[in-house]
Amino acid sequence: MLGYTLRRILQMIPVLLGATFIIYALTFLMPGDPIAALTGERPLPEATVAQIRQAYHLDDPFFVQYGNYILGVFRGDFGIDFFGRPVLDLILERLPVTFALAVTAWGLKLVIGLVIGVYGGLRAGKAADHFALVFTVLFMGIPGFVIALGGQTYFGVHLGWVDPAGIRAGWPMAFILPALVMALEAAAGLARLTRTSLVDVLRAEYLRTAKAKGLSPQRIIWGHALRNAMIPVVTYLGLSLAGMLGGAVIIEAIFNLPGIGGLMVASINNKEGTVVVGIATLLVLVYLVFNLLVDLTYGLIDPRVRI
Amino acid sequence: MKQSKKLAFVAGIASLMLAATGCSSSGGQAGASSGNGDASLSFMTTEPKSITPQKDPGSQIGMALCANLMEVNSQTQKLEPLAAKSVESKDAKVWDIELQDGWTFHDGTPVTAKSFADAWNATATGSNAWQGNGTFVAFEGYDKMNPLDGSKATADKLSGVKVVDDTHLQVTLTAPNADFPKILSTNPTCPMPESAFKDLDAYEQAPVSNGPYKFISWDHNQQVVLEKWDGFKGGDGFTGGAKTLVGKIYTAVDAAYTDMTAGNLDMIRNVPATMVDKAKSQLGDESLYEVKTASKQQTLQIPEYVKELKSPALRKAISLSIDRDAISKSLLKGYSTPSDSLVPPSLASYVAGSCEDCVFDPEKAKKILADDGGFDGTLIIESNSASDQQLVQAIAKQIQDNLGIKVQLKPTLGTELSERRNNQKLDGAVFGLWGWSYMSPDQYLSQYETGGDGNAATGYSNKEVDKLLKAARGELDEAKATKLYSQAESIIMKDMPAIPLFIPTDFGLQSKCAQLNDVQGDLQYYRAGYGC
Repeated sequence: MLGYTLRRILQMIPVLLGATFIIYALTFLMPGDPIAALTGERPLPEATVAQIRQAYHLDDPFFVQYGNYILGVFRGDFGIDFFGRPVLDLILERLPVTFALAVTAWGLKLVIGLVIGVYGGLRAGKAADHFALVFTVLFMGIPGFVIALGGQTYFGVHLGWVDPAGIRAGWPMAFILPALVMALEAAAGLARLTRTSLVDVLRAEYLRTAKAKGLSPQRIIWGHALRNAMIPVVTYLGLSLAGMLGGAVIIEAIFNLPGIGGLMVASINNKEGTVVVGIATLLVLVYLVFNLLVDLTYGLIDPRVRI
Repeated sequence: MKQSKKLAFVAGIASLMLAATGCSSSGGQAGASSGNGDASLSFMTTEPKSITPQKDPGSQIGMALCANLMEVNSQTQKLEPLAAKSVESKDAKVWDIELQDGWTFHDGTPVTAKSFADAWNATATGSNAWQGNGTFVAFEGYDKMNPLDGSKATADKLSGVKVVDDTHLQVTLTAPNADFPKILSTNPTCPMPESAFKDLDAYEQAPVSNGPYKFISWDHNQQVVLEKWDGFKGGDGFTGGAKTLVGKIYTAVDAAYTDMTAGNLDMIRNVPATMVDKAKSQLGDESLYEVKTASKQQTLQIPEYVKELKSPALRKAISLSIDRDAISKSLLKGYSTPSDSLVPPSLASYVAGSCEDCVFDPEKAKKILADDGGFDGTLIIESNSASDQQLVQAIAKQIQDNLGIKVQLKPTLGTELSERRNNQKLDGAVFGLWGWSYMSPDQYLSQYETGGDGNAATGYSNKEVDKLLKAARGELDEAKATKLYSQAESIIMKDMPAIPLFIPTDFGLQSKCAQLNDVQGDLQYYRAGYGC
């Protein structure tokens, strides 16, 4: 187990290098001049532009630029943006917001999705199951931003229960509504998956055996059916948390949460390569770690895949 | 009981749907102050890249922190000395500046001639890469600090700046420029205390300046707090009514607007035209502040290096085929006025109708084009894909329908468009917005001067125009200068390197407590009065 984990961690290094290289190359190839865009329509004097280009090594060949960047990263230096602020600071300032939003949304989704999914799965084909289907399809069907804007106007402006755009309110008040919106949208998928998986397992022969052996229905459901039905669900949950940590650009923008997603979009627009690559590297890392965690969790649930 | 619960649920869903589609019945509450009698006003800002005026000349926070040598008085709307007692010159080339006695920075250290000279030298240092750098291009010695070819600088100080004594400065320019006092009202000319240079990174996070408001705190991505400074010696026309100013940080203007409807925000500037009608109905007419002096203009610039568009007759025909009134009334909902000059009407040098072909006359347009030999190519119009796409489409359709020529739009990302414009790689005409840093015809017309600010866009060059603009700039008599600027404009207009289109109206949004104010077209948050 320990050897496996170590091997997986070592595998991350080439993946990370490859990912940063591709992203760096893509940012490099993007059309447009980042310096020209600094001041919009009114151009900077040529001399200033020349000096800034020099200061940021923008005139060096691509491989030299990338090499410098990677060497910096190994020293813990992620570079600076065009106003001289360290990229690492920019990311660290925004990470807590994204983290709080993702974990809150993920937690809400977990509860909502599992409750509906398990409930529907145990009563497959009955009225409650149909109701769960309608509920989940409804929230899968409505675009997220519609629910977000509607909820914001209703609960934030009309009822005044939460600050409609209030990062300043802090956790939990600033995060409940956006997290709920994200959770409702994502819970639908989780509920469908849980239900299907559970229905499949309930039809399995080993459950009939368990029933024949005289186990109580409680034991059968909680000890055998759910445990096996959860395997695909855990994969889905793990990767979806990693996905949520990547930032929810639209939700962040609507509810004024200064997270990673917004920073990424702004940096791409301004062609601030160092910021884009910095965030992307971090996100790749998060994905890799979660993938590993998911694989390790399998072993806990299903002894057959224990390595 | 069960029935009523169900009904309540349905009603809840229905009102949620209504809210989602924007058909709110109550129309939202009017904005209220976030403070409670402590004269606090909040304004919208995005997370500042920098709050020091030398690094970000457009920073609203920087403006509140700094008192420039010259500044526009919001009561008289005139440029007056503020941190200076006088700014004078006999030849517009060598300028003598006398500072006010006894002025200090927020930390109590005195503001001296050296505080200005040090700040100017630092800002003019190319390798610092501060955005305010270009402000000093007219100062003697700037070229030695910023060699055009990007080679190493041969000086680290502006040779044109001399500290005479604690309260006297002498500035020598490379060429006479009567607008120099106006340059001294722009933010990159703010002074910096000696302590700033000991640790510039720390100064960046907590600047100490000499203006009406002092810095209290900056919680990144959340808010910036400023407080009225008791030691400020400028008059009421140079400060505002709020005791505390809170810059609330938003990622998007829509979020700020929603927060305002919930009563959590007092001021928003640069309100998008699409938001104006919504605000009128949701927040009421009194929430809208219309900027008094129109300072911006939209044009269609035509690069000289695009050979197919070289003929002035063709350019005139294009201009005549655009029904500016119709677009202004319908698409722009009247929040924009048709333009008939290369400068906005608020400038003294403006001559009504100086662009004779800025009227709508499709018959004349077709005739001029036919006489000129027609046009069988495609008119390409480039624009920033992030802004005003509907407007560009409307203009293109007008030209296509009324002139019968093929028009193709080419929207590109802002970064790409700037690069293409500055490196003269445009494929056709380019739609753009221009504004002034200070109120002077020079800010608009120098685009058409060889090597002038923004000249790269069109590459227009005309010796006569160059001569007139140079003379106008060196003319200390304002009436004479105005005439020279008007003359230059009428000559440029004949070649039509740019087709004037619209003067957009600028709007700000204010809560009941805030009374917005602008100075010569620039809405500055800190100038707002407090009315609660």
